[in-house]
Amino acid sequence: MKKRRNILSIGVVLIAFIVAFLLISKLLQPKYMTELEEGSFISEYYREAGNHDVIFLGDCEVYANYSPMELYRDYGITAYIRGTPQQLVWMSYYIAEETFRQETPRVLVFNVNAMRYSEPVSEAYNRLTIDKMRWSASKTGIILASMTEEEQFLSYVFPILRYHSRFDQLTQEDFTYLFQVKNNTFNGFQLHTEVEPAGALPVKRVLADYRFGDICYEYLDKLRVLCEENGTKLILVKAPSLYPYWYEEYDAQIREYAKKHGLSYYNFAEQTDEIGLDFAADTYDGGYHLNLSGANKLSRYFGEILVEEHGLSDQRQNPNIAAVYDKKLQEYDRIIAESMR
Amino acid sequence: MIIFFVGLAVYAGHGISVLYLLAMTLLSYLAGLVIPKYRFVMWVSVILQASLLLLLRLRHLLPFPSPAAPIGISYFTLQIIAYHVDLYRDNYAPEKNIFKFALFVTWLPHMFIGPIEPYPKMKDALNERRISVDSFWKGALRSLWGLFQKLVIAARLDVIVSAVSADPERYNGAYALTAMLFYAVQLYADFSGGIDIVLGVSRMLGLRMSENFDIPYFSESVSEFWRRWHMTLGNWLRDYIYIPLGGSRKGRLHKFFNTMVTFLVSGIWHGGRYLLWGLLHGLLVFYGDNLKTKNRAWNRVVTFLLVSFLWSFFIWPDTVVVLRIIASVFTVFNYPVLLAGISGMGLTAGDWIVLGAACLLLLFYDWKREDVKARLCIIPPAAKVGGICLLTLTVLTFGRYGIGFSASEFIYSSF
Repeated sequence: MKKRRNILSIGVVLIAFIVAFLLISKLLQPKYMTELEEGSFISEYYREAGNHDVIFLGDCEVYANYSPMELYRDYGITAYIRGTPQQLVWMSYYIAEETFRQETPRVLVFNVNAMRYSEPVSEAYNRLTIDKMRWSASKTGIILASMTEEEQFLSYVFPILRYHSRFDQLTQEDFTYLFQVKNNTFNGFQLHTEVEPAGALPVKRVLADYRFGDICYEYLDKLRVLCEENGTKLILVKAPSLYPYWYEEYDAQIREYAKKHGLSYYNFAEQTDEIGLDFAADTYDGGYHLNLSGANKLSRYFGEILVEEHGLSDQRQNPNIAAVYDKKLQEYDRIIAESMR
Repeated sequence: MIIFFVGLAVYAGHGISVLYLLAMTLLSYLAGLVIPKYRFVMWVSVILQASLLLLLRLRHLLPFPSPAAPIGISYFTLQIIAYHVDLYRDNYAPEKNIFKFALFVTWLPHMFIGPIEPYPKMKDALNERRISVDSFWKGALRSLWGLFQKLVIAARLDVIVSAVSADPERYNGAYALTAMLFYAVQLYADFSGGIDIVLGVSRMLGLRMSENFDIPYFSESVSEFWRRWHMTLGNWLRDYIYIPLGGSRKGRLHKFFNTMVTFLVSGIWHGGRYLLWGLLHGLLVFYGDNLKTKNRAWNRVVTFLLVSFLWSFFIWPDTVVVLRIIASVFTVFNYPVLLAGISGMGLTAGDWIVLGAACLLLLFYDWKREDVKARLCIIPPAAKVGGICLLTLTVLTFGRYGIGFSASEFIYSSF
């Protein structure tokens, strides 16, 4: 009897410990809701996963520059941007792998800017992409592929090992969003209405070596094969940012790769006039990224390409989709109107 | 045998040190077998081991480059010397089982910071080794308490001590005094915490090892301090240096000489830079009792201050800087700006609160530890598990570890 009572008591204590451990871990982990909100982008998708015609993959050059809302409004294309800050090629691959377990888009758009990075950039960027990912083989893969030398896998499994020092930096956000979340994007698009005209840019340095790393090609190949296996068309794009410089040597390598594998590649940085971009008005940070006005122009331009060259059809006649997107558009327009005020 | 090989595997991670350790273990084992018959082998062994230790400890004074000291050399060398001397004295018979002997030398948990275990005690502990639920939970609790001291207290104090020691020109006077006092606590939390981890892990594996600390900062004189601080080293120095030299039996001059030699050896054991530190401690041990008063609290404060001042040799690597810094405590009056200066050295308000609370907890535990231990023995199993869980959560949340920290490095590993 006493033994049984002891075992029961120990069980209760252990359960209390596990609950306290999980609660403290969750409290200490950054919420990415009002600060560094880019860290929440990866998880918003899980609430939106479904039937998208187009999935975008890449870094800030996708989540700042393309507006899925405009693609739907103008062409009836349903799109979602799975973009995260400094998303590296292998990250894009694992995110694609995860996406294909949720849905099979007709087109996967990959922004090639990440090809210039063949090593993990920093732990902070890794965290913004990985922290809020759901656990799966893809998350394990992305961690192992992305960790810098100083990082440990266990700190991704048990976030308290990484974020314990936040115990005295907790803010209202940590308590407000302990059990709830909010969307910071519209289908992955980070909306910026402010304008900061392009000015003086850093000097264009001559590089010693312009070749992309083997690991980038390795994962680009894997991404291409993954798309082929799922019957999804892979499109390569380069967003029209003024900086960081997209060297001609970079461009040539992507063109060669696209040609070799029969892929479409659009370097929008070379088509700014056709798109109608004005870097005095269409950027929110001096030419690095587009603002809402610029993103709308680029989305309209790219939407036409998707319809005319890649045969995407208008989904606005589908009542189920229309019901969801009409609601989203209303909210989108409301937020825009609010931020313009 | 499994523990021995696991230990070697871990040790192998530190490079060629493992070869030195294996060679020393084998040679010492063979030497031990023949010492009862061929007594001179003890002298050969002691001279060889002591020379190697001396060579590696004083390598920075050598005119030619020499390899870095293998990890744990200071600890296992003293154990082997003690073993061979004891065999020479016919205190016990040599160990025939090579694995048991190897385990005595290479017992993983104590390879990095001790304690320096006498062979008979280690042999008994190995023979009586028994893993039980009770030993496991006590060991786990002790290990966690060690981690608490190391990660919650020592790691925070290190922020201030490192900042002050990195710029002795700027941070002198009040800053230096603060660093000395903080370092005294840091070193204790780091070393005593490390020993708690070693004893705790050993206990979890069913092995009881020697205590190394007995609330040293409660000492009323420096000689008492040395009976309470790093006790296994103190015992070794007493048994194999001080007493063989004659101890206190041959008059005051001899006692003075023997004390100074003993502390000189202690200084050398810590490293070539600590000769003066050892000699000063020798002087304080010999003459320190003259400073004692009837007020016990005052005696404790004076002893703590004296010991803290001498830890300066550990904080600043250059002896000239140390002497200048100690002088600055009395000549540079920057005390009014101390609080403002220290608050900007990298610890947040939360860190200071945690540090203060943790130090109070450590003080309370040290003060009442017999009571605490007695109470821990009678609490129900669920409360024991709860204690482990609570301490785990505390260490995980308030410890300083992760990127940029070397939680596995202990200050005393470098000695």
